[in-house]
Amino acid sequence: MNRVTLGVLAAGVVCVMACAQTGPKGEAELIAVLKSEATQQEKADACLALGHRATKAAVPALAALLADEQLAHMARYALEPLPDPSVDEALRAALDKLSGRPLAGVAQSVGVRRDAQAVAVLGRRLSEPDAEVAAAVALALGRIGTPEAAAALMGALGRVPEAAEGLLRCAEVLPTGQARTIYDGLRDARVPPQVLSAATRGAILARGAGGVTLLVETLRAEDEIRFVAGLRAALELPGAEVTRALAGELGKLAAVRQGRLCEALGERGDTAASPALLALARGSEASETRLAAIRALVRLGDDAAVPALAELVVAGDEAVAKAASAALAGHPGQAAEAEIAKLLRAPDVKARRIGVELAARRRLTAAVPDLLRLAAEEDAECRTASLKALGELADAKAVPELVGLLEKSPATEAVADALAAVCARAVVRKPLADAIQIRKALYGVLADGPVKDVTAKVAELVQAGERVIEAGNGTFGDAAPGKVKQFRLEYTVSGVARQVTAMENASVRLEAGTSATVPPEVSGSLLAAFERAQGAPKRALLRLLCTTGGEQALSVVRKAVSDADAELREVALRAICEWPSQDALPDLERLVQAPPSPKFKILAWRGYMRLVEADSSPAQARFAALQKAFGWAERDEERRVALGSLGVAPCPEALAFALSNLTSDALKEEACRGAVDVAEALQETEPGACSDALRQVLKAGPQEATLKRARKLLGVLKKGEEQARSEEGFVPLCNGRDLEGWEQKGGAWWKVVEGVVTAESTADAPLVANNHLIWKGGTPGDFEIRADFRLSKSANSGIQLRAEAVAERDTGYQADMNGAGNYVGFLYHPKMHLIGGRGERVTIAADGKKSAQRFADAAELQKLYRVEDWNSYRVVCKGPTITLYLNGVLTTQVTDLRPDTPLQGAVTLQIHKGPPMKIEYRNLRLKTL
Amino acid sequence: MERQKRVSQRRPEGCGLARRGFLKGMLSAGGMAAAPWLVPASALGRDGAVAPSERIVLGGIGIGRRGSHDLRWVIGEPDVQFVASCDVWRERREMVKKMVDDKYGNRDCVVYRDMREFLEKRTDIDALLITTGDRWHAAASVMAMRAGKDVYSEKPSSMTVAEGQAVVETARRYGRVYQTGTQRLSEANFTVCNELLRLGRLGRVHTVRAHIAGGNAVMNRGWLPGEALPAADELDWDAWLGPCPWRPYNKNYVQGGWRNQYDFHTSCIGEWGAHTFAQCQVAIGMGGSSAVSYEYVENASGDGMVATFSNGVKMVLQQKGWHGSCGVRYEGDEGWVACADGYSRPEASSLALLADYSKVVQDYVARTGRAQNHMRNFLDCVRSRQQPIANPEVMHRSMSTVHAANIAMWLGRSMRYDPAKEAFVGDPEADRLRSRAMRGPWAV
Repeated sequence: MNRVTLGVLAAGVVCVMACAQTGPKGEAELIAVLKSEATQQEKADACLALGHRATKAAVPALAALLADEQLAHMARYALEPLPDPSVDEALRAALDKLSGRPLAGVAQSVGVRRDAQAVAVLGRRLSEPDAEVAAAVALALGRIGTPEAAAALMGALGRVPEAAEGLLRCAEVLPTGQARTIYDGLRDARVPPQVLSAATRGAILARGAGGVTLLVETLRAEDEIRFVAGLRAALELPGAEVTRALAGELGKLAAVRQGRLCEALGERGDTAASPALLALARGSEASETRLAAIRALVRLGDDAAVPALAELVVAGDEAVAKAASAALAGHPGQAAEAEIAKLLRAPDVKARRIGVELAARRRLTAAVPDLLRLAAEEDAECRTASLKALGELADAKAVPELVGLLEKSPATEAVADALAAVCARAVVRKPLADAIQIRKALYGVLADGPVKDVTAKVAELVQAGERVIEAGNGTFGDAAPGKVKQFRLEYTVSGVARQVTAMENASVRLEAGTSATVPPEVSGSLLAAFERAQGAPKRALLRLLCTTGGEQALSVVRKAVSDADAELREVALRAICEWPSQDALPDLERLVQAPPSPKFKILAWRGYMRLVEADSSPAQARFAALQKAFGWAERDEERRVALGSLGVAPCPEALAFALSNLTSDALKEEACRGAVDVAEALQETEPGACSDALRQVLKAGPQEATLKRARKLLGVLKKGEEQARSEEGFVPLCNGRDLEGWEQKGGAWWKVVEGVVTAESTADAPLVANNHLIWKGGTPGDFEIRADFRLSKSANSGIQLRAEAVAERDTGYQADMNGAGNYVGFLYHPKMHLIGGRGERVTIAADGKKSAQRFADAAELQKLYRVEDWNSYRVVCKGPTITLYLNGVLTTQVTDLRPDTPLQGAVTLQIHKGPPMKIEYRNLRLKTL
Repeated sequence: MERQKRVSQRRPEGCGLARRGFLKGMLSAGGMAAAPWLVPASALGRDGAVAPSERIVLGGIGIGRRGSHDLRWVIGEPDVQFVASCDVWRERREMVKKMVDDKYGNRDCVVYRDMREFLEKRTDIDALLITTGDRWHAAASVMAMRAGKDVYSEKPSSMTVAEGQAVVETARRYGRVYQTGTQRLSEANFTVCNELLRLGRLGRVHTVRAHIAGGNAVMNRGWLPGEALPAADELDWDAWLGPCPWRPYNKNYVQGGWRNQYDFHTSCIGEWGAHTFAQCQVAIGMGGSSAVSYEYVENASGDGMVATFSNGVKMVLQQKGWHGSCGVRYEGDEGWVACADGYSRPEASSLALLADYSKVVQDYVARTGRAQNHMRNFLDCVRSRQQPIANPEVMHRSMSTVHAANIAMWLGRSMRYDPAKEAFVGDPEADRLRSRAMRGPWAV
């Protein structure tokens, strides 16, 4: 579409909604438009707008348009749905006067309105030579459907093709006696086949219960038209008697018709047809008919048919058996299950096999004892199928029996597979406590709508052991009624950042380390059997012990590593390499360094890497392990794997290590990827180092995907830097002259000196209790505050955040500072003291439990502070998280999820009691977020 | 405008399969031999060939872009013969003729401009593919069924509640087989979702979510500037407009610009809701009903509207939430499942839900006899006379939910709807929007 037309389209937007809002007053205006010299389009729009709200008042103006070729239809648009008798009068009047298309249109509207008083005039116009008019009139008479209308139509039958349609419509609303007369009349007349078919169907249905005779007759008719009409009526004529009559016909019909009647009986859903269908399913010679009968039986869901279906499963030909089997598998309720149980105990092996298949298909856990018995069968097929089913259905209780089977069954592998599946299900997995830290959770219309900070709620749930968060109103309350909401969660798992966004009502699963414990009865059975067993079963058991894990199992495997049996040794070594939990790390370390064969060096190395990646220890420890693995590697292939895995150990050391490998052509790609992974995790705490690293990555020129990620991240970091520099939106808190906008209490400690907010205590005028200068500009919730400060050597001060507006005591959080610098960069709280240590990221859980992660060295960070000189603070309070930057560098971040913690409050400046001190603040400014 | 007057006397000789069956029935007493009805897909022979006399004879109306996809689909089935098509637009008539003739390697496909002439003359045709623009779907389907044809119509099945009622009544009156092209009702991925719900694997289902398209519920009503009217043989504009209000010709309408026009489209809600509402309603056992309440939302699209069914299940209209088009999502006490176009498998709250995916599909097919191929399901029913999955009732009821949701958006208020009376509760203004007067001479 070109630009011009688009413009016109936009200008021409007239919405129905806007019309609805014109209100009753609008009607007069719209009527005026109709009467005016307005354009056709304006009048058409007026009709449309009147469509759902015109009153009697609009009828004359609309009726006047009925003869207007251009606007007659739009007039009807407003008149046709208007429930007022004056409309009928106007339309009837028009019926007499008009001709051609306007007449056809009015006739239609009269029909839609079912105006019985119009029948006489319609009857007259039915003889119009204009075929379009006659057709519309016939259809209208049909809609009106009175005996008089039917009589007029009957007279036109044969001359006006639509008269037949009109009559069929009349028959649908007239009393059954009259309907029968019409249908029978049509059946006897010379009408097109589709009318004959419709009349036949109608004639059957109009006879009610008595229609069954005609129905049966129709089904026996030789011609297809009547048979098809009967088939349709068979779907519609109700009653068990009818079903029985139809079922009675089944046996008498030709095979090709039997199938179709079967389908109709299935659709009827009446179990009265079951015996006849069963007879056909068993006895028909035509396979297609038998299948159709079974399909119908399936749809009837008749329990009485189940035993016969079971018979067919065993006795039928292939196609029939398959259909019957599907029927049993899908049959709702207990009857089918009882029948399957019988099959499982049948003397015939084929029946037992099918029973096993059906038990598996229906997930019949009640069949487990039978399946255990069959798993020891002679018949190999039955045995294998039973074991497979047991793998899917059995629980821990079946383990001892399966272990017993393992020791004596020839099908060692099949039994071991089943056992492995059962053991895997029996393992109880529990999330590792403290592995997950919730950083931020939001619920609402994320793009631009109302959003609720639900960090505290999510943290509380996670603390309580939840690992699946139902992101819906039920959990968080409705953040934006009537809107589709989203949920965004940022969290860390063992320090590795993760983020997930989900739509409302999604179940968000938190990835987290889990501990797996094997129920003692399972491990006990396996260990006891291992002691007893020999040969192949013993090896199978050893493999199983690897899948279940556990301390005892590991010690058994360790012992087996030096067993006399070489085959068992091999299995034991593999088990170590595949061990599921961290306790095998020392074994793997030894194995890598002193492998019994080169193959095991590789396998052990891979096992070691796998466990390190899944480890939940601190990032530095994981990096140390990765570095070790890198050192053991003999091939670049492995070195690349180690570099590519650096993302699981996000720490500055890992970043440096990745960068140190950029120069190697063979390792460059993975080193770049590792560096980008680590930079993504460290972007907040080490923005400078990350930016440098990313620039090096871009210079090294990795492949497209990594390049893109590096560019994107660098962009984000640059934007962050710009934001940190940007002063947009900040409001100065001090006018530079006096303490306007601040409140001073308990003495005149504070003043403004040359634009600097200054507090001073001296030996002559010592301060005996802490004092606060209170900002009166509000109690911000989410905000950022920036300030430069200078402290005398012995000074102690701080900016209180989310505090109470009190002068005489410390409240809220404090961005701490003192002259010597040892408290600078800390977040302090009067009740919890130094809650945010320099270089720490801290989470205080809903229950008050504190956990901290160190991202930088405290002493190193202190070096940023300039003693007795100006320094700058930048404090960001957002939701439950407070972040503190000293001279542009992150020093601490605290997320306080305790439910009673205030999320807004006053801002005050502190002067601490004690020795004489001088405290200066300048460029105090604040921005609400 | 020049219009063809119909010959008042029409005596079609028969209707398609039934007519041929009629002749055969006469010839072979007992009808044992070569009866036409059942050519099971499994028995289509090693070479897949079906004798011409046993094929379903097909025609088309308004085959354009979407329609040619359907046409390729249906002429790929071995037991059909496509013989003729009707379109008001010469370019499209020629396109279809070329496609069909190329496929069959002959010049036999006959094309028509006038639908009434087409329906009257081609009594040999069993079933029609109706793939016009939305405005014509119901009216053409009704006319076709009244002429004794079975119908596969593209979605949406109607523009108004009244049109939907007409389709239901006509199909029932003439015993015709009708299917709407809501093909996801016959796709295994979506079938599995519906079956998981039916089998109770999701627990008690309380919420379903139906994807609606981007765009607005409140549509354009303005006219594009008039352009020179093409010759009727080139493009019959009056017939193109059909039952809709007249407006001046502009080529943009014909080339797809009819979308988002109040007269021609069912809005962003109907665009995908025609599919997704039907899927949701079939899934929750409400295929024979419509939502009973509609919560108006203050936005342009209806995104976030909650429609509630009489069984208490809530359906939420959503523009986002899937990484594919036409998505649905069912949520129960014990789990959820979601699917949209392009998903290799549905997504679910637990992988275990999908563990027996293929068994669930097999059981469904065995139980219902419905092919996991929407066109095949229609053709099977043309032979067996059973109701296909997207039958008139299901389509009318789910489209009524679409229409009611649209009306709630247009009038800017929440509504209640009585599916038994097919009327709004205490809202006579909304009731008037259930139908639109059809421009003569078109009538249903």
